[in-house]
Amino acid sequence: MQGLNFANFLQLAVNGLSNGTAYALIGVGFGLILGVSGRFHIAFAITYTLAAYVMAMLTTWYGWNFWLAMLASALAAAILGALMERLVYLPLSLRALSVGSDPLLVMFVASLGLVVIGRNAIALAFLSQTSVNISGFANSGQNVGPVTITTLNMTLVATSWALIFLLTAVLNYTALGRMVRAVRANWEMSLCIGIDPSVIFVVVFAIGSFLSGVAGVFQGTLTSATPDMGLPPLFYALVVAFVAGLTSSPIRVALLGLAFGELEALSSLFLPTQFAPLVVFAILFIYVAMRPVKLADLRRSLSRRKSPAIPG
Amino acid sequence: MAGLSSSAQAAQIAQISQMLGVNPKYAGKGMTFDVGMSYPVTGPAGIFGAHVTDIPMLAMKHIGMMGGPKFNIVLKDNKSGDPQAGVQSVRELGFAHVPMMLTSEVADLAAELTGIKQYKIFSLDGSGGTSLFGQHRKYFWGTIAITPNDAIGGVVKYMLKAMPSAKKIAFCGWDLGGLSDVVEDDAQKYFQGTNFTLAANERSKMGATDYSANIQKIKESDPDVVWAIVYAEDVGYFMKQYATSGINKPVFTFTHTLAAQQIAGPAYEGLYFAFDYFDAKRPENPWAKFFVDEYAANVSSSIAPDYYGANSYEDTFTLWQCIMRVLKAGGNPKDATQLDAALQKNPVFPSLYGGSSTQVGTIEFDLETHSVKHREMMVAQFKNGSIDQLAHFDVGGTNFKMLG
Repeated sequence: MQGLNFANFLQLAVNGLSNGTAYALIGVGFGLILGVSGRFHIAFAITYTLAAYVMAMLTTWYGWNFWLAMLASALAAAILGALMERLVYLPLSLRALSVGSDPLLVMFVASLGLVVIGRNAIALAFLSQTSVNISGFANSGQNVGPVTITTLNMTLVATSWALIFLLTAVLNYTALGRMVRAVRANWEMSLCIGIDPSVIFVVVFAIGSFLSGVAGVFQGTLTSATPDMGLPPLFYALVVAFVAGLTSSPIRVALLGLAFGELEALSSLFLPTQFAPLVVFAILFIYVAMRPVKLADLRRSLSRRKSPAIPG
Repeated sequence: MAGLSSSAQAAQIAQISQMLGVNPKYAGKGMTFDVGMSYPVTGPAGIFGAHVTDIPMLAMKHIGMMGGPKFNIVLKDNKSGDPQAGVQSVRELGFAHVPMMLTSEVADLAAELTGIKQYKIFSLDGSGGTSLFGQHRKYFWGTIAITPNDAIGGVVKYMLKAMPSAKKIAFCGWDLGGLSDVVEDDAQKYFQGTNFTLAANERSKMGATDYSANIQKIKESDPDVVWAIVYAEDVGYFMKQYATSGINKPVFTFTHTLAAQQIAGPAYEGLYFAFDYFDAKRPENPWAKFFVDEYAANVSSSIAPDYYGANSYEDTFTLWQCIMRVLKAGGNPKDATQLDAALQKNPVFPSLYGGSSTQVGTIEFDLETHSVKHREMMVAQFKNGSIDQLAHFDVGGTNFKMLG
């Protein structure tokens, strides 16, 4: 067991801050999509991965500025996410409803298919390289007292929390935000006041995918872009969104993600390091055990959210 | 890169043929052999796809030019360490009565070994060797040293010579359960009689990309030297994070791949590694030089062959050597049992590794473990963007020699 000295605790807490912030960002993005549309969007992993690859191409091959490339990469992820909703999920959802099926399973299978197609398409496109590096960011370690913080992690934390607060502000104080919250609360009722839920679904897919893209870019910069890089974060996103609740505010979801990151990092004070990722799943297990989810209710809740009729 | 002129190539072929001890009478000219290949064509390790056959085909072309037989490659995809795919591959090769095979990834994580014995397929694994879990298996031989175990002795000797003040060593290795314990035991064995102590023994998940917690524990142990006992791309991820951790101590690893180097970027600078690395920029004997030149002319002019490529080339020649020995003894070279017996009768074979400007190197198998008993290995450092060879040694650190 590692010594319980303060410097050690601080360093692990700093590590947890950056990892937890990454979990927060993807948890917010995934939670927004799941909470508003009810789509179990596993292909979130692909928008995350795509952004990292676009970033690698723009910075390494074309020498783009890091921030400009990040914006373009996240926008690419947003566009892909919106297209997935508009071209795949929505038509399949309507089709399932028209034949009297529950779209929930159809959505899940479709999303799984998108993951398989996306992962293999990326691997095929970069056949000669198992991974691609993102350049343009001069990462270095900065010593602050006994703690070493990297410039990349500081940037990740600042950028991510800025985006989370911005999203919270948009949801709380803008007309778009009110429409999103209205659809999340009751999409059928929102139709009555002239909100088109299918448009809002596309919007939340774009926003959620944008956030996944930013997270993917940071992870790709920290390590490298690989075809499978989106799958492990997906599980964290799922756990964070699930435990936080489908209708929680982005801040609450993000704080939960941050808490997971801190718990995971600090757990290595007491546990062998390789068991740290299990901590998050142990929390999920305890949560489910302590607060049993009525699966029928959850299923009904998700089903209710994902079948907007297109007006006109 | 242009290949050699046909006359120059013919002269070299003749010279190498002589070095390899080829007797035209028993070279197998006019015969045809099926050779199985169970390699990662798809999946994470399948980056070259069906191009995995390029190098064995180059070897087969050279064997043909030396008066040897023809070969048909029967390629099977093990899907990058998928045991089910490996079992299926061996079953199909067995049903097709293929007598010999080039295989990989410790015969696809041991899943192929039962089929290799059942269907009697003489098999060589040049990508993973026997490791510790594929030893003593009938018809199955590893042609690459066991990593890190076979290299630990060499690294310890190098550290004693080049880093006399080093005392505390921290490990960060894949968590492979009992196999990780064996690595620690082997290291402790070599540490006896030295000032080295194990300051930390961190374990990580195979394929991990986040080493921040491991590195923090390593930092806490205040080591003089770090051994990163992780492989493939993981070395790149480890080094990338290590470089910004504030620890400024040398790191040794037991592999070197272009992929890891690309991932780590500048963080790879200064990394030491020790294993049976094939240095294509400094081939040690005429056969190795010929292989490198021919590879550039026929396979890729932009990327030099790595040790996986060198091993699959060498292994193809080892199969041919066994065929020649069986033919010389008047036996049936399409019988795996006779090929296996030929290896066991004289477990020494020509090698691209080691040797001199006038003779090829040698590889010797251990008849007990089926791993390598003699294999040229090195300690090297990635310095100023290239490989700097620092010491040569044999399995277990024997015949240790500092360079330069």
